[in-house]
Amino acid sequence: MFVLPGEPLEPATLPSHSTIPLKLGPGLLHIPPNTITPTVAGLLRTDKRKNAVWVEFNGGRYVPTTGDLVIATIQRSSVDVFYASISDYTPNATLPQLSFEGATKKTRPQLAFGALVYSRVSLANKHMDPELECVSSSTGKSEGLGPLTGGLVFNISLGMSRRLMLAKPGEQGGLVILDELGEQGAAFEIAVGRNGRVWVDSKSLKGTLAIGKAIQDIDEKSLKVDEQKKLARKVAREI
Amino acid sequence: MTDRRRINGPSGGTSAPIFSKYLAKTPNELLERPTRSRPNNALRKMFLKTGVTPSASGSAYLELEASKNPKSTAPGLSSPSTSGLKLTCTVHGPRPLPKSAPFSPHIILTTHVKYAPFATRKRRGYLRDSSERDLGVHLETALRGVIIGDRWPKSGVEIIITILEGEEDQWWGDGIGHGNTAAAEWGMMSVLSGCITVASAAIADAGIDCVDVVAGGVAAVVKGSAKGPSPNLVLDPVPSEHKEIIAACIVGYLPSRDEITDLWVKGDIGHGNQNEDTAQSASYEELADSAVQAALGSHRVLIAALKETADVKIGRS
Repeated sequence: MFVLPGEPLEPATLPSHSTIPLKLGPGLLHIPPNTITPTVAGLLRTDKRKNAVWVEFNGGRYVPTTGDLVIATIQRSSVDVFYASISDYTPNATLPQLSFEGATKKTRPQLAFGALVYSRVSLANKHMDPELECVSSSTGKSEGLGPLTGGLVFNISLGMSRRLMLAKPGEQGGLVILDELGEQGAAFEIAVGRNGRVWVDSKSLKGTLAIGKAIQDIDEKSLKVDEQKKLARKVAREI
Repeated sequence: MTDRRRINGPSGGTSAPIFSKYLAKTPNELLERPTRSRPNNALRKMFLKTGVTPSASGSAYLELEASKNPKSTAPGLSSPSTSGLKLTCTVHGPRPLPKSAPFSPHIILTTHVKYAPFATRKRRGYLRDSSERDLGVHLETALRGVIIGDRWPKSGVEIIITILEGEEDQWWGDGIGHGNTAAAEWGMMSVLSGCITVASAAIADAGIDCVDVVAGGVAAVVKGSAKGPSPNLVLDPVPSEHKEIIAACIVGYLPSRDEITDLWVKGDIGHGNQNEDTAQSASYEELADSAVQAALGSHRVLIAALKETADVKIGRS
């Protein structure tokens, strides 16, 4: 359902749950006591299971939120903290040198300018610069986070990165490219950041470029499922 | 302040000369003022498209159809007809303020309105003059009430509007010694109404949180139209179509909340309960209400354009 800023929402369009309170996602404003209005123009989406409602719009700006997984680029390092760039138009985020798996004061990770890191946003609010971490704060293990070596990073739109990060990209987001490439036998590693970046690594540079370009093409030309299958076959042949 | 850094083009007219074969056979045919063919409460056709500048956070383009002399036989561009309105707007931000700027708990809105040098019949300079700064201040007033500024402390958003073709203040034929006194700047009123609408579309395109979608509308009290000598209330006036404009009003209106963010009235007008000689002339309240009606008309076009953009951007998921 398409909504505009300031449009009154009928209570019938909002999900209701017996026990869980209603969660408001991005793009909505709550005016006490019981008015909820959208603040951006986009599509209104609801999730009955989690009792959540939000407005989906494919904007260009990534706004850091706690718990997001992002691909950050190291800009410089100071005494005990790295400064990493999440997006071009925001100040650098800080990444403590000790929040890597197995890092102590004597053994710190050596990351130069331009190095890529897959990290989670640990602190993000409108008043302060965002902070990242490469280790899960509860278990102390990296769980897939950390520096990304080799490969190439590609820029995609925020909507595309959200679709790639869905639990079931094929059913929910209409994306079958990654499954198809796996079926065709292409060997590659991929990491998706919510800030509109995707990192691809394959055995050859040609393969890496082909896969990355394929994902960008699907994003720009909004290809459908059968077109994605055709593209996957073409890419697998090239590798 | 004269602009000494650039080599300016020759000041004067911006219209191209026309071939003499397109000139009318009798001088009366040429010097006929274009007339308003639409009813008093109808707006001009509007074209609005967002996303025209990919490098900016949000952008929009607005075009209003040009009014023409109905009796003119010359093909389109070669007739000295009046011009329409063409505006383009880009939004940059929200982006962090420079380190030297003092702390601000809400977003800082900067507006910049500029006529292109070729936009009006008389060539404009490259530096902003006082009328353009005035338009910028009015635009900022209209938009300030709509953007939710608390979500973006220490940030700034910049809205840049370039007017590619501006409204004329009076019909060019009037200037040739028909005894008309210097016209007030009526063209600026329609331009401001277009600026508010196009800035609102660009802000929604950029995804900046807003309380509502603001639309601009303009109405005027005119004299001497075809409907008779008594003053008339018209929506979306084109200054060159009317012999004399008594007063004009422009509003920035929020339809869902029924609120006005900016109101600018110019001219000779009084309150409704004042006793006047010409009982038919409109009152201040009626003029403001008509401007709100005009804003509602622009709002319809605005939401249709935003819906179209959203369908293209998100339609696949």
